[in-house]
Amino acid sequence: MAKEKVNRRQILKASGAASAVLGSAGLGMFGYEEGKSPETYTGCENQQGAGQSFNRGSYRVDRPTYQKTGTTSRPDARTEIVFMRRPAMMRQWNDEKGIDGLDETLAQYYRENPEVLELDLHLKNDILPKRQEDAPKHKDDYLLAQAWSNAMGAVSPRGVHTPPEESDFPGGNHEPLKMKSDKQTSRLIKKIAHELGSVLVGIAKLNPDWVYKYPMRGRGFDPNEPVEVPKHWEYAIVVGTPMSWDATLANPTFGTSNDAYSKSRIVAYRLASFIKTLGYAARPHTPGSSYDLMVPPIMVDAGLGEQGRHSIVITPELGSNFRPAVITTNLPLVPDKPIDFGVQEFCKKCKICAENCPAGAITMGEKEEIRGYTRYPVCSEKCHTFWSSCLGNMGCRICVAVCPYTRKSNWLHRTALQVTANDPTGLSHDALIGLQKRLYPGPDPQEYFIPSLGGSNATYRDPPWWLRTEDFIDMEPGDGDSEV
Amino acid sequence: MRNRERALALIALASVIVAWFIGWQRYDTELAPLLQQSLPGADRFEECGPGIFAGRKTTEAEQPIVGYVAIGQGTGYGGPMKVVVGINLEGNVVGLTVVEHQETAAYFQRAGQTGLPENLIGKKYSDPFIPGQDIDAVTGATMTVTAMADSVSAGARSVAGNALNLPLPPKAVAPIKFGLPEITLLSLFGVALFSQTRRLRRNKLVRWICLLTGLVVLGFMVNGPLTLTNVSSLLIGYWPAWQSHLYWYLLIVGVLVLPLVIGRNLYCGSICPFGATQQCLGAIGGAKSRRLSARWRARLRWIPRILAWAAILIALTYRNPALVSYEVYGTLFGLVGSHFQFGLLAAVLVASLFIKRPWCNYLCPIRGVTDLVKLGFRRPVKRTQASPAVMHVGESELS
Amino acid sequence: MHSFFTSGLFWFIEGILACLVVIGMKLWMEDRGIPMPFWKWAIVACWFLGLGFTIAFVGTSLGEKETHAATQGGLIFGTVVIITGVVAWRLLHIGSRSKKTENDDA
Repeated sequence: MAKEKVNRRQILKASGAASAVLGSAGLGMFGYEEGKSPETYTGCENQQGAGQSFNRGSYRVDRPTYQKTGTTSRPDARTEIVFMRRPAMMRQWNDEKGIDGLDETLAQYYRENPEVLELDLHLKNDILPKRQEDAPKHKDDYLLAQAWSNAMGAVSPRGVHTPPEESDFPGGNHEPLKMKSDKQTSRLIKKIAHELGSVLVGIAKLNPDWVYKYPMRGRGFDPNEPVEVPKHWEYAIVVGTPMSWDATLANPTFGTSNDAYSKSRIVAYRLASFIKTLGYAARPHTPGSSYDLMVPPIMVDAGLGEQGRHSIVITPELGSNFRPAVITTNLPLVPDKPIDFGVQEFCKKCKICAENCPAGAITMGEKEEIRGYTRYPVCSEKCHTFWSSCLGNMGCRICVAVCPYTRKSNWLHRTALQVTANDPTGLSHDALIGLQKRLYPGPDPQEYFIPSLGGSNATYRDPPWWLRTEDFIDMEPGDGDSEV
Repeated sequence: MRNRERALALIALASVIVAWFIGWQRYDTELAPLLQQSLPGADRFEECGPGIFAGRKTTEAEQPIVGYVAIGQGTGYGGPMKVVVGINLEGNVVGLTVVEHQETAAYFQRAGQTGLPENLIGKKYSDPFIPGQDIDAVTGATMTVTAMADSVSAGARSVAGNALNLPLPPKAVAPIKFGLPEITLLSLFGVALFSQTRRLRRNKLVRWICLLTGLVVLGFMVNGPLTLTNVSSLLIGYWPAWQSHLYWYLLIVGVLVLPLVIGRNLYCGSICPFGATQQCLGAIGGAKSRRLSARWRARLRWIPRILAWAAILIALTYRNPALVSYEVYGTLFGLVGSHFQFGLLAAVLVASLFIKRPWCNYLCPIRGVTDLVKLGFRRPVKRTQASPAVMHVGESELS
Repeated sequence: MHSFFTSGLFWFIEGILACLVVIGMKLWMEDRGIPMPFWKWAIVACWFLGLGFTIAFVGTSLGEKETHAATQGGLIFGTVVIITGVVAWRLLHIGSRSKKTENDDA
């Protein structure tokens, strides 16, 4: 008995000593981390890459998590992108002549896809007039939100309006500088991108399938000639920024795409300028509609994230809350490898975005083959129609707000992310999806519609204090009831 | 004492019957505005049969009939669902409006997520309208989906047969649903019955096996304990089709009818999954049944009876079985409920650690119902020395 | 960003408090005559993690202004913590020198 007691005392003494050593070492490490932490660069945290905090190392894979399953083809922006097709149709449409009154490209497309024409006309004839009715009754509710959104859009680069052979290159007799190593250049470019204001950066080799066959207007191309992907579009650098978090939760009306669009645009043009100074070609592809290629698959190739059910690329740090821009360049770089952190398995079961999409544009079903690649189909017609009908700031973004990955970065959500990213069984996915639905509910999707369409202008969460117009400005009572 | 209780039970029963009649009178619906919604294209309606309206288009010469509208009915979880169905001249569904339903909002929404009931537009009157066959089944909202399908089918067939004179194939009968839940329920009742007759020491082990099986299958897998809503539906007259709702009938018979025959309530003591939950927690926490004095226990035992009686009266008067359902079974087994229900569940679960079966003894409306039934219908039992005046689940059935 | 509760000093103090809890518990168990082998400490540690998680979860949700998550999460996790607490308490009493007679259990 006495011997036992002695042993216990010895153990306690030894562990006390070990604790002292460990504790001290810990203090040392704490100090070191604090010393170099990007968080301590007050006001310049993102420039130090603080936003890109997820360690992608162990999640890198050789192949991206989408599949190429058939013969691939490039999309035609004139007909397949709602931003091009719908304004063109609305400009040309004549009720008497119908399809025959449209230009040949549009007419041909509508003949092959009559259901798309139906959806497009529905927006024009039924939805937009209803929005006209409701807008004057509620304009005061969104005054601050719109002021903020417009302010974000007040500073914008001039844009690219000439063909790549002209505008991509630095011009003059700017010879490309000899870079010492591709790896070092990549490291430099990423750091510079952060310094210029990007929150996340990734590099991919450009897959020509992602380039529009017939691109968006105003980018310097002949609209009737298919685009041959320029040889100097070798690599694609993805940059971008998130939207304001609390405002994004108050979608579809108080949030805006403009804040992230504006910041991402500025970063892209700054980086293109930097690359040109090195003597290389660079062309920015930026939101709202100044891009010649599809950005989400490039993001996946660059290892920034994985494409989710809603067709937005989900990143570990920002969830779905990321608005990217791309710079195509011939600067020699080492592309990043794509990552796999469990999104495909999660999205298969989750479907929260599909259940909450007011337009019903997101599928509850399986992936489909689209232009040779398999992914979840999203009906951009229904999506665009819905967000064209909303009041407040343009756009909807409910899928961004409800996505379980879109979370602020605190211990709780970082832990949840780590668990889902590392769980091979998928049990944690079920548990977390269940908890998400139980603990973070939202309004019935019908409520997001404007009153004339059967809703109540509901938002996913209440607007943050700084967007509540009624708290700051004396307004005349409006004509209609406003549920803010 | 016993006679006084018997009198009270009979008064309660009488008031329930009165409430039923009051509810019957109130039953009324305003249809006119919904007819046009269900048959777009028609703007004048005239009744041309029982619950059938012909829709005419007055903007054309001769004001032709463009279709018919009928009211179809089905039975959902919470009671009848009425749907106004618009049928065109070929017998296809062209529009529908749910007039009334008594489903819990969460289940109605869940059914709606697969596109119901709008997906039923376009179907032909002769289609089977069976979930799992030509309609998406929705797990966790089967009764709601079945009700939607049944109502639309009934309306369509009514028009087809009476107004359009189209040939009516026999109404497709849903296949009899007899699977794991039904088998488990029957087996548990069987085992419990059997163990009553033998009266062996094994009683305890057998009862634990029954309780745990009930907990896993009837509780977590099926979420099917008997609820006050079921009882109210039964009393109002909302009886679903037996083929697809065999479980419902087995449960009602086993809990309400069987005790009258054999004199014991097997369900509460050996089968109810929520009772099993409390029993398990009680075993973990060392729950005792004598934490309160006998006088208090006798008093508190009236609470479930009064609650059940009041809830049933309200349900019958407003013809809405789910109206005052305060039970928390669904909150535990399906994780669906309001803040109040979660809070109540948390309190009950924690209390179960220290008090034996607190919900069963002091809150359960089913207990209230079975008590009322027992007191009202049974002949007074011969009083022996040890026999308690009132059945206490914690003592006489579980010791 | 610079709240006391997100600073290193806070965790330093929490560490000291944790040590005091352990020492106190050790003495308390000794006084009650309940032996505490390593596996019982593991149970205690897990339970405290659960309790800590629940409290921190409610706090975090309130900070995010997600009141629904705070209430429902608090109720769900809290109930689990209470029940597992009772289970843990019973397990801790295994091997206790002064065994109390258990009343009607089932």
